[in-house]
Amino acid sequence: MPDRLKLFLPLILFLLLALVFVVLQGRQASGDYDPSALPSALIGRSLPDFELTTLASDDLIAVADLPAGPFLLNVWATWCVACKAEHPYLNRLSDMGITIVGLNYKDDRQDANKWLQRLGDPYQFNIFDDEGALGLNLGVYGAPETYVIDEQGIVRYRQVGVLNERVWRKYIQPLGINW
Amino acid sequence: MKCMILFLSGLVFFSAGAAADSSITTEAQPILQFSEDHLADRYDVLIDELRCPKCQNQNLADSDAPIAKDLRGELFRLLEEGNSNDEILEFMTLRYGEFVRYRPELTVYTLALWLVPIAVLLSGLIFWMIRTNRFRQKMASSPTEVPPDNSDQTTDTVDSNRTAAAVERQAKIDALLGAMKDD
Repeated sequence: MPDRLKLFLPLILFLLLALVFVVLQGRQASGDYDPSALPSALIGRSLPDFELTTLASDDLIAVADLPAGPFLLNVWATWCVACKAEHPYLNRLSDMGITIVGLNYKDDRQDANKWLQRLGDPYQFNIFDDEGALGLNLGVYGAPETYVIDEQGIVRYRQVGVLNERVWRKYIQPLGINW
Repeated sequence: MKCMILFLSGLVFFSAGAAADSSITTEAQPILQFSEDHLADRYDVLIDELRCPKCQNQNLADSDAPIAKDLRGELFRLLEEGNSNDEILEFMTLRYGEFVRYRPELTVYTLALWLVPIAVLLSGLIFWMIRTNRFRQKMASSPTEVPPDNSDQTTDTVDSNRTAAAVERQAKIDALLGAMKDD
């Protein structure tokens, strides 16, 4: 009988592997698992310093000019298609009273301002990072990305990709930040 | 005639190749001018060792992603500023995590990366040793190991086998005959 079992070993191995793949595929489809998402090296640390202009004007701002309370730092650009999909949800968050600071990443100033006029402006203000210098210091590798900064100014979470209701419920709400 | 055609087609082929080559080198990568030659060597080593965070599984040398271009630029700047390799790797991991290194440091988190290959190799070795051991034992105990010149013994066993079978068959026949008699 064990010999018989041995005969079925390849089939059993195949079925086990197939099960693993099906489960992973399902988790990927539902957004629970992203094989290309990287853990941020910034979690548990404060934001790096910078000196850049705002999107609206040529005024220089630094890390000290960022809001004190908890806020979201959203990396976006007009060339980023997913950012457009994400935008309505940011508008909703802003309406709910959540502070969002934008980081306009490697973009054109005019295009970006037009975008905000057209799609609404959920941001308290935008940092204009046309060369991606602050983005590099944050560890940004694409857009959209969203950093959650708590009351103490510590980065608690980074979302790579679109921020939506599901992400908010699953990852940001459990942080227990008092918005 | 044949020679002529070959020569001409060869000429066309090579000139086309040369044209394509020059367009590639001028377009894809601006040539970096290092102030010192050894910096260029270190640059070559580091772009091989650093991994692009966007096009995962490509290093900075291979990747065409904008972020890889930025990181190459940053690497150039850091080298020109006189940073050591360790300082540069620390700079990169502080921003993009241990992920950007193709040769990550040995920490609790990367322990598996370093140990699994050794473990797999060892288990393969152990498996192989057990198998060869078992095979050798089988060879030692199997009847085929018995030298063929010892023919008396083999015929003996064959005979005894035959007689055993015959006795069994006879018993069966007797039982059947007995059953028939009872009827």
